[in-house]
Amino acid sequence: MSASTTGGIGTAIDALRAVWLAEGATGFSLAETGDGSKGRSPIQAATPSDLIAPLIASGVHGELRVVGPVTARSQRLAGDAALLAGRLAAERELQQLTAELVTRQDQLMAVIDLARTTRRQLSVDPLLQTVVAEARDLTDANAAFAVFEGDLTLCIGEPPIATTLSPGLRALASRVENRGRPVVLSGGDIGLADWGALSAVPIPAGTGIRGMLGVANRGNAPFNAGATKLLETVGAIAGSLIETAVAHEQELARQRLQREMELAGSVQSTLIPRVFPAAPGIDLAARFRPAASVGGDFYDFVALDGGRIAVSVADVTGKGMPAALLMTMARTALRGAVRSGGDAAAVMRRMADDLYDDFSGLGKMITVFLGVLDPERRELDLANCGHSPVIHCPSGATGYLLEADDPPIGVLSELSPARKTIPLGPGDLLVIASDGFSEAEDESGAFFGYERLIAEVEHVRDRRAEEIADALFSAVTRFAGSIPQSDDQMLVVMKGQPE
Amino acid sequence: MELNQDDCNGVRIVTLRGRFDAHEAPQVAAWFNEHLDTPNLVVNLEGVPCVDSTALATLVQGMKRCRERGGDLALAGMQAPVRVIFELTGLHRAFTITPAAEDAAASLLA
Repeated sequence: MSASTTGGIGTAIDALRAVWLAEGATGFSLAETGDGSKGRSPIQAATPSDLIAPLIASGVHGELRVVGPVTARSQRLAGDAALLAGRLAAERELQQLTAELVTRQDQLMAVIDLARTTRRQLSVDPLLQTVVAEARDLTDANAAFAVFEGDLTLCIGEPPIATTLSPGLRALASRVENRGRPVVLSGGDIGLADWGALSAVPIPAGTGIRGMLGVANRGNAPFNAGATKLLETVGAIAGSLIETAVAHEQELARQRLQREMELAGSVQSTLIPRVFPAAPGIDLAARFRPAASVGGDFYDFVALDGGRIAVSVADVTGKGMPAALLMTMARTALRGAVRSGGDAAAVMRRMADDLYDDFSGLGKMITVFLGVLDPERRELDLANCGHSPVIHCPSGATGYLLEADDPPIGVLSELSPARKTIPLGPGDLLVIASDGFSEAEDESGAFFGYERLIAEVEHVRDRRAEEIADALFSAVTRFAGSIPQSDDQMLVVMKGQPE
Repeated sequence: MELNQDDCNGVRIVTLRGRFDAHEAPQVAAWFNEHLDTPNLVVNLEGVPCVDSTALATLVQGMKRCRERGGDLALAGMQAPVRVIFELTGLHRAFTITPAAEDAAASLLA
């Protein structure tokens, strides 16, 4: 019963009035009693002969009054009242539907607008900036702000509501995030006395709420339900866009890592020889199984004068591209040292001198097993900086682990002048593995370990080198079960052939 | 793996308990980083049944940093399987190794 219903209700009242007046009434009016101030028709003084019928519609109370010499028509007046009440109810419903429609349209515009402006933004910060700006514009607020993942991400307004995340804002963010619903309050409630009205909504991203979006006005009039609903919509959109942005960033990182590993893997496979030099009287096998994240293992064979062969097995600390680069550096140093001649210990010392400064400076180390194989003398002249496991099975004797002479290169600046020679006559066996074997884990988290490795070698020591290598790889694969290989696995097997 | 800290005449001792491998190494590396101001450190390995190559690399890094600051890192209380690994890799030549943490602290101050 406000001015906006003049059209519909007013016409109906006029029509009814016309009929009553034609039948002898002198007045017909509608007076509001329950809904405040706006009476529409002037009310004449009630006289005992007036007919009155209550009119109740949508919580509004009023009465129809007929004045004048009409009698006993109260039933008809009640009918008129019911008719008007129905009309009023319909009009009110229409009002509400219209209001809702306008709200929905606003929300749709907000969605379209936001989607358009953020379409190209795939990272979180620019997204949040756009969302905060849109929130302020759509709600016509003085200021807007967003808290995301515990940080006050952005605050705009003249002046902005805060420059850092105050305890009050932090508490509000927790409250909004825990409730998962909007919170409408006054700034004074959270220590922001200059801001009379605040409305804050969740930013849902992923499986939980990760942030809060809010708007603020300096005036005291609270944000109405429509504005908060709009803000809630913007918050929901922001959440979904952030989810996409985060997923995108994660995918990019994953791809970068994969490319790095592929590159490192191709460096590694370039360094590792596929062809082994012939060593008469020596049965030689070399096998390599890289892990998904490249681990820095390599082996190398260099042909020397007199039919001798330099055999090396090495393991650099670290994984991925850094390890691949260090591997390259190490192999160059190794080959250079080998070609300068001398026994294994001398070559090792030269290699260590070359690499120590760089490796130590980088906080890295490299284990190196170096053997100079002399097939004519059936001997292996060897030096070992920190490499393990190396299993020596002399013919007719039990296998044991060979100790390194020195720590890995990069640990100490000086090497001890140790040298060792072992025979490789018929039945003598040497297995050089990388720690990817001994440190392979099974489902219970146990390591494959040295004892198991020696036992396996003992078990197959009478076979040919290739078969020994196969058997050892099978053993560790069986042991690991479903656990994926986490480190490179490398084997070089040298066995003296029968006369 | 548990880490417990102690002090003995200005030498800081960290006592480790449990398996020391690639998963636990970052914890120990972080502890070393927190104590960059102390040149003499002792790592008590009484409660450590096994170590892997990442653990060894972490200890080496810690030792080198201490030596750069004019001090040293000593290892104490090594169990037999861990001792074996140090001997196989030649690392027993690179560290000061003692049976008990107090001896390690004393030797660093000597």
